[in-house]
Order: sequence, then C-alpha cells, then structure tokens
Amino acid sequence: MKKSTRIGLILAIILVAALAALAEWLVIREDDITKNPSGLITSVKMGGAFNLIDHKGNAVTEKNFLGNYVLVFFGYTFCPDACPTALADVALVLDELGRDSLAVTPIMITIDPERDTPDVLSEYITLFHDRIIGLTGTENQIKDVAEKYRVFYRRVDDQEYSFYLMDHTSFIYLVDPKGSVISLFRYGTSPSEIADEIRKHMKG
Amino acid sequence: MLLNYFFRTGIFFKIIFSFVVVAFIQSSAVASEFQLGSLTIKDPWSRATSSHQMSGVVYVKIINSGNHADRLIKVESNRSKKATLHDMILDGDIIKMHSIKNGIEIPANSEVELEPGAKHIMLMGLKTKLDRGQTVGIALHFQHAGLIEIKALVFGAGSRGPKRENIKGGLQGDQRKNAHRNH
Repeated sequence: MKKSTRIGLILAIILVAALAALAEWLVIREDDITKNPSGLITSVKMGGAFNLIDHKGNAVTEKNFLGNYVLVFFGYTFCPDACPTALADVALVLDELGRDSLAVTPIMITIDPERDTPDVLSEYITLFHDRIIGLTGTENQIKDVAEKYRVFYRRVDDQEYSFYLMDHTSFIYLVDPKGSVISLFRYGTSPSEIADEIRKHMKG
Repeated sequence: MLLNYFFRTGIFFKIIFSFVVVAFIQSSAVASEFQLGSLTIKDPWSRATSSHQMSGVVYVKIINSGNHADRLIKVESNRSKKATLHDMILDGDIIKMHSIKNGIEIPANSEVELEPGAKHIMLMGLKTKLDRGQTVGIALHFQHAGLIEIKALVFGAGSRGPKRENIKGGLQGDQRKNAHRNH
C-alpha cells in the first residue's frame, strides 16, 4: 500500500468514527440507559459542567446547585403549548413533595438564548412557581450544556409566523446532590410518578 | 389570639377573597357553553402569558350531536394578529409543532377536544399579554354550521383546564404565591 493511500484510509476511518460519535452524542443510546422493571428510565450517563446565567442575571455553574436534587428541563418561553404543560408538571411535582420539595431545585434551561434573556425568563417562570430557576447563556454555552444532556433542538422558521418556534427534546432530568443525572422522565410522565421517583432516591 | 392575628394582618380576608375568586371563576367556567346548530362548544379556556410571549393558546371541546360531520376550518381572535389551528406531535422524544392545513373534522355524534399537548388554537402575535381572569374572543368557522363567536376564559399559565382547575393548576399556583408573600 502506498503511503498516501494509507494516510487517506486512516483519515477516512477517523472521519467515519467522528461522524458516528457526533450522531451518538446527540441521541440517547440504549447502552446509556438503565431501566427499572416497570420500564421507567432510572439512570443515564449524561450531564456535567456548565456556565450559564440565571434569570436574575447572575453567572452560575453546576456547582451552585450541588447539595440539592435538581429537576432540569429544557424549553423556551415562546413555546405556547408543550413547555407550559411541562413547567406546570414541575410545579405539581413540588406540590406533591410538600416539605421534601425544599431539597429539590427546579431549573428550566432555555434552548432559545436569542430571545430568552434573563428578564424574559424571569417574568415567564414566576408565572408557574416562585422556586423555578431559569437559565440562559450565550449560544455556545447553551449548545454545550444541551450536548451534555443530549438535547436535540432546532429553530423552525415558518412563513406563516412572524416569529420562530423550536423543535426540541422533552425530557425532565433528575440530578442528584452530587451532580449526576440519576433519572430521566419522558414527556407526559405524571407528576406523581416523578415525585415518587425523587422520594425513592431521597430515602436512598 | 390566633384569630385576632389573622384579622389584624388581613390574611383572613385574603383567604376569603381567594375563595370568592375561585368560586366565581369556576362558576363562569361551568357556564361557558355555546350552541351553533347541532354543535356545542364547551368550556373554551386559555393560559396566562408573560408580556414577552408572542403566542398564546386556546383549548375547547366541540360536541357534534348531529348526524353529519362538520369541520372546523378557520379561527380568528380579537387578542392576536392571527389565529391558527395547531398540533403538537411527539416525534420520538422531540416535541414538534405544526399548523393544521385542512381543518379539524368533528365527526357526527362525537366530540373533539383541543387540549394541552395535542391540537390547539394558537394565537400568533398577541396584542397584549393574557392575564388570568380575562377573556379571549374567538371566532370559529365551521364548514357547514358557519360562524360562532365564543369567549375563552384565561386561567393560570400552567393550568390544565377547567376540569382540573378546582383541584390543582394555575389558580392554586397563584394562591400559593400569595401565601408565600404573607409569611
């Protein structure tokens, strides 16, 4: 084999591997998922460090939330139907947990940083629950945290609208006090199911 | 002693007031029914928005007690520049919204409910934010039955609708917020 062919081949293999890694990065692999007998996903390898801005304008990282359970949800405030439902669910989870809810910090991370400034987030989230924290950041900061949580999001421009909507994945993540994602809830999981799962972890 | 404290701080009156508000909103929700031929439009409702949101939603139940199918083909609203029929679908775990092109069929002797996480009326380009307790005027155009104007009641931003309103949802959220402030 000629040297140049060999280099070409190696480059091609690297490219294919990189593309495969990228594709897998954006979706949740079955290998990363542990399910309990009822089919509820109980653990997923994901999450990690982030640098973002909260709805009060303060810079925050994942370290600010250590020590508490965290319910993470990705969405955007211009979302008229699905996101309010998910946020209402999160508020209901807190209600269900009663006093235990103090050990849970609910966070909404926007996937639409262009429009969701701290002020916009602030007015929106307080419509749902005064303990929900909204996080935004630069486009790259959001891209980074979304990748770590394997969140897919895409801007959708439709000629019919004077503004754009977003397609996005819809999981609610439970992060433990040490910062690891320990549960993943699909869209439509009932608030009581989520509350039960949190309680189960609290009891250890 | 405790009762005295309640009276003094005004908490007592705030609690009574919130009960009156709940009762009022519930009774008006129950009363919202509109008739157009054999179509009954029941409990139209909407969700409060922030001042930055450009879109809102309206949900409604349409009951067709007639022997002929009809079709909801067009919607309009006094609170937004434009209103369209929209559907939320889950493509795997990805939430997608798309507008419904050919209207929504209301089959004979059946009911169709527009509800959260499914088909809904989308208000695009809100003129002003929607506040809890306000109403949203909606014109529904049916292919056969024609036009009817209805009023949708605005519940809390996270409300699940009139059925759930007396259990949990937007109103309770507001009460909880007020309770926090009083502490």
